[in-house]
Amino acid sequence: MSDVRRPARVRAVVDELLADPYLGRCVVAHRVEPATPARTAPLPPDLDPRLPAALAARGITQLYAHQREAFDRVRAGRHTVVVTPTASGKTLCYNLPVLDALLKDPGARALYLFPTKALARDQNAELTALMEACGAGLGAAVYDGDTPPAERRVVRDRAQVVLSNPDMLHTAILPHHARWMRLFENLKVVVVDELHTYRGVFGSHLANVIRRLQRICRFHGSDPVFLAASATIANARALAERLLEVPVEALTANGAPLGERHLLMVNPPVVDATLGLRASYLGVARQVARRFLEQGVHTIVFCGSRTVTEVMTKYLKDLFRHRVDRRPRVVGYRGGYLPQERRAIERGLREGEILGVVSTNALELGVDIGSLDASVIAGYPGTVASTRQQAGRAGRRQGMSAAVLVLRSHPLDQYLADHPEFVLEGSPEAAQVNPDNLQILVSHLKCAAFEIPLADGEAFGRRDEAGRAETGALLAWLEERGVLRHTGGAWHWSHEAYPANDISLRSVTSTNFVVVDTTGNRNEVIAEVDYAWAFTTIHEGAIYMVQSEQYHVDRLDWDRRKAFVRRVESEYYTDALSYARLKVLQVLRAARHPCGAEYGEVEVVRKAVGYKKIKFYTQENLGWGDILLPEDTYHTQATWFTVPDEVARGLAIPKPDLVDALQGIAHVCHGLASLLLMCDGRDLGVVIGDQRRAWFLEPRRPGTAPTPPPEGFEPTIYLYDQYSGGIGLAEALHPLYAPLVVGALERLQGCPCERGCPSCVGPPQEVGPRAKAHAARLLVALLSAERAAPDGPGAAVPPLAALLA
Amino acid sequence: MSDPADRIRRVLSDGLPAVPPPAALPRRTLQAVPEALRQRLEDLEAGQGRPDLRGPAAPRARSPLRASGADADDPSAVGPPALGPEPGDPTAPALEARLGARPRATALGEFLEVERRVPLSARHGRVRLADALAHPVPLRDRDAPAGGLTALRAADAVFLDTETTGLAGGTGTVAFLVGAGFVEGEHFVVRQYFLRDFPEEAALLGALRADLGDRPVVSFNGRSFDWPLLTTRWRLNRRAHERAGWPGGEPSPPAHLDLLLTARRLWASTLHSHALAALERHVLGLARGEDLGGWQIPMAWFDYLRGGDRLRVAEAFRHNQIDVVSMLALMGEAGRILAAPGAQLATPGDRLGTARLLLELGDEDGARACLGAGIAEADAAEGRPLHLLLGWIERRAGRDAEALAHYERAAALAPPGEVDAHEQVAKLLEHRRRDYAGARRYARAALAQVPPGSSAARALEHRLERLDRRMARRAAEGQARGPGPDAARAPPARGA
Repeated sequence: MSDVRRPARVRAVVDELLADPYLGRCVVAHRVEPATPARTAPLPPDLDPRLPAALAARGITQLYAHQREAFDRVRAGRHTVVVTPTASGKTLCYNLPVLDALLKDPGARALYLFPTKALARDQNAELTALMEACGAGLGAAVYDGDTPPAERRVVRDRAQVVLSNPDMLHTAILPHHARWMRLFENLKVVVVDELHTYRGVFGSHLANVIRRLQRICRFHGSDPVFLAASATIANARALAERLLEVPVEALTANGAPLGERHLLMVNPPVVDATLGLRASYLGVARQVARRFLEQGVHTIVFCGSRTVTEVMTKYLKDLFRHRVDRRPRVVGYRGGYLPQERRAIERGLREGEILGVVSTNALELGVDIGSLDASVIAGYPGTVASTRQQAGRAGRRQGMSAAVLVLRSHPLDQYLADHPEFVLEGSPEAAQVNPDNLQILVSHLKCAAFEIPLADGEAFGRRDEAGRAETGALLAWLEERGVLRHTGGAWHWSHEAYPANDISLRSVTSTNFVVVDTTGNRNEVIAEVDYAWAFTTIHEGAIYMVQSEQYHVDRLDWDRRKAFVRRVESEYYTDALSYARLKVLQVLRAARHPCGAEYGEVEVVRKAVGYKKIKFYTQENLGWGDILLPEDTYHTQATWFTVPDEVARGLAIPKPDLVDALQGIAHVCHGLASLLLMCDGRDLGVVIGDQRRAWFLEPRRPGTAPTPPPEGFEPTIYLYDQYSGGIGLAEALHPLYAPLVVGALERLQGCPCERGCPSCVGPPQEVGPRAKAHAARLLVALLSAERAAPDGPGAAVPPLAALLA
Repeated sequence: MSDPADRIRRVLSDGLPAVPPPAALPRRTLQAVPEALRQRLEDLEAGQGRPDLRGPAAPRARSPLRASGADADDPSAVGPPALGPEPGDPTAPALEARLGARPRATALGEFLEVERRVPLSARHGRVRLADALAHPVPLRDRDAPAGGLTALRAADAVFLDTETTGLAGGTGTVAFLVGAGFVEGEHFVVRQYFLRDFPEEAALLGALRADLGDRPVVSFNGRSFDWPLLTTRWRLNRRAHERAGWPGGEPSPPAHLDLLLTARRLWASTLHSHALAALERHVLGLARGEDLGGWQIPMAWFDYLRGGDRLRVAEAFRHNQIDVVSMLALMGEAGRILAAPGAQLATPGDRLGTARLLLELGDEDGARACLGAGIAEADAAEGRPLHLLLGWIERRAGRDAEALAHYERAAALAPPGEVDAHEQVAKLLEHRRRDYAGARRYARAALAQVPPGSSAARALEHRLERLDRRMARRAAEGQARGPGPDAARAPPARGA
């Protein structure tokens, strides 16, 4: 397949799409980014003389402008975050200054952190090759769970660059820092790659791991420069400063050349105006992907969930199933596949042997899969940053590439159909972290005390007076708990436990489930499933898919973390329903009036209740099954607002209708809240209920009547952080309550449907025929109460669009 | 408040540690935890449903008090633990009096020191300590990285053992008690260095380092546990030591003999456990009596710190002291066995493991003597591995006749399916003796015992084919044959 012809084929497919009588009309936006030439800079004049030769051998005689800039800043000791897109030569931004420093002082050390083991191994290979080309006997080594014990000592004492991950730093390196004395005494540069992945719980943990790293460096007398690299997010600099707690400069001007790029947004057509029903986004995405694949264009298709990824993989494989020769190879890719299978797929993509890949956001990261020509994004991924990353997976330094975003009938996607500029020009999201989340902070305070006793007056975290006082109070509490001892002006770890072992940096537990294929007594592990996903993907009766092949889950051994499956040819897949109820533990911010928003700590209990069997292609519902699994309980934060009984009665809305209307409000608010917070919708949970009367809305199953709400029911909509401990989303949402209500009202009034549709309150089959009308009246009532509140915003509630601009 | 001296007398007389009433202890003023914060922390602690964030540390933290034997109605058993006593607390001297300990002053402050002088004429189990000094223990290269030292005399060494706040390692694990044993005149002195609290660590480690000097170290499992842990502690206290004008960081002793590694060889298959207590029982004939379990030791110190049962830690001193003396006795046994490997064994030993250790030490004659003695005392089946190893030694030494004899003996003793001796005999017969017919006999016998198609079977088939070719060629060439391909390398067959 000739590389030269690939861009021409991309152009042909894009032209064809735009001219297509059916799809062409669905294109709501088409933006062309013209090719940009490279901006280059000479190699630094005082570079160690061994480097230019080594670089020349790999065809590099000059740098891209941002690479040179990064070099100069690190050399000057300025903490920097490099914010550039995929394939911009980011690696050299940190390898060059690090190698130069090491060549000039072989005693110096550098630490590289990557979010995954695979990325560390990729980078180690590249760095080692460059080191060898310099011929100075420098060494780099990966230190992770797979490093053989016999090699660990050598890595500790000899490797000039240690490549690792935050989890390993947290459990194995920092608590043993005396063994790593040579590293910590001579640490000159710390590289944090894929900075944007450190958001939410993981990011909040990382910030604390960095605090511990900084303490240890100070103890051993080093003061390293931090060099981070990030995909394009709104607040890369702010995020870097929050994670690293040092002043950071951002470097955003990309000097690498880019080929011409097309971004299309496609909104599936309305097929039933009264119901507001649109054609299936998956169907449209399939058609778009098909056109690219049929023309031999290397294509990646992104899907929002693991199940959808498997379904789409099946659809695309089915398309070419009956081809006799030159059948294009299409594969699925997602977390949970076994590592060797994933490596094989990555290799197939790099070598061009695989034409199409269907993936979850797992391929959003910098895993090396080479450059593809087209990216089809089935459904808005939830954030502008993700959209850009996914679109950026197609794109080369030369030649044309295309990305097509197919919108769903969700309020969020439909808002974007009306405002495509939000995706095309809007600023990408800010990644949220909350390093001072109490639970996370206390966990790492224990680790810090274990590593080096904390001195009186030492702050861990915020270094102001309040931060110092809080650290002191937390230490005192830990002493009461018997794990610390205050003596001689310092807090000493005084317990036999090793605290880092009990703290996982990722939100999911480390106890994965394995999926065992028992077909024909094979008893072979075919996949792994995270704890959090087990409730909804490997319950008994589920159809579990790997590479779109279907397996029936016969038995789930919860205690031993094993699911036993059998290969089947199923005409359906399964989709589990879970629901949550919650309990307010403590109100941290009270409401200004009875309808106002409150914020506080809550306990969430999540339970998977049943699953639907959905027929492939037609999406017909073939039946229901029960799920009998334990509940999952965690503490987090929520923002909530209540409709008092008298307000509902004043509007004369009957009780069953009231529940419907609230469901509609919750539907639209959830989408808009994630837009306002610039977060991924999956990070934010929503639940309707009345905690005082212990009633929560459960997913409705056909043929069963919903449990009616109790007498005196005062429904509340809770929006909560879907992470144990919370990550600050609900807290950020609380002051945005008024714009949220205004935005929800605008969305309802602006939607052309009659009685509700998936794009606003949800389809009438789910929320009833009167939900849209009642929801609008309720929103007006809530808004007037908010405006009339004593210190409320009055009439001056800013419209949503203004806030987002 | 009773008279402290009276309490000490009581403690010494009935041997049971007295529990001071914790309520009477003066409590140090804590920094206050604001009520709202406390509430949030307790909520978080109570509601952590996810196992990943629920550290066992907090709930387990109270267990030291529960396990300390405090009365159920003792308020400290349920409430937060009491803090350490203020200076002048009446119970403070109890431990010192009981152990005969005295504070040792240094430029960086004090710590507590206890010295026990055990006469060398005393017995430890069935070993007389003076006898334990008789034979130096040979060292491997890795035991003495600095070079020069090839054997270690117990009288020159320091025997080191630590009691720590945990077994997990890492910088948060502290050695609160270090025992160092050394020979001084007619005594084996066990000096114990004890932390009365964390801030005394710099003083303790500085004194320990000065006392160690540049003497070789003997430990039990010290290579992987005690020494790295002490190294970490020295490194963490480096700045304090340097400020006091002391050498900073860890010392580098000229040799470190880890007796666990030696014991694993000397008693390789005869003992199931190579824990020190098991070796004491079986090798030294010593019964410890009641002793603290390893897991109780950190708690004993935490109890002492927090003013719970402040005397239980005395048990850790006893435990540590026995460990140190046992190391001397064990080193004596090891030296005795290695000095006369052919001698009759007083204790259950492992001739094969001992011979392997001797080979590692480069003592081939010792290994021969050891295996020879083993063959003499073993019954037939047990002798097979000894013959195999002897065959290997003799073959390596170029003594083909002896090697062949041992391999043939091993082959005769081999149970069905064990053919390594057969293979060795076949090799020797083919290449050294040029006895192709004999070699074929052994190779065929071996082939009949291995699974068909296995790699062993393929190798044997290959050998048989080659033997057939050689026999055919020899027949064809008759007596006029020139030197074969192996003749140049092989010495003329001896004793044929």
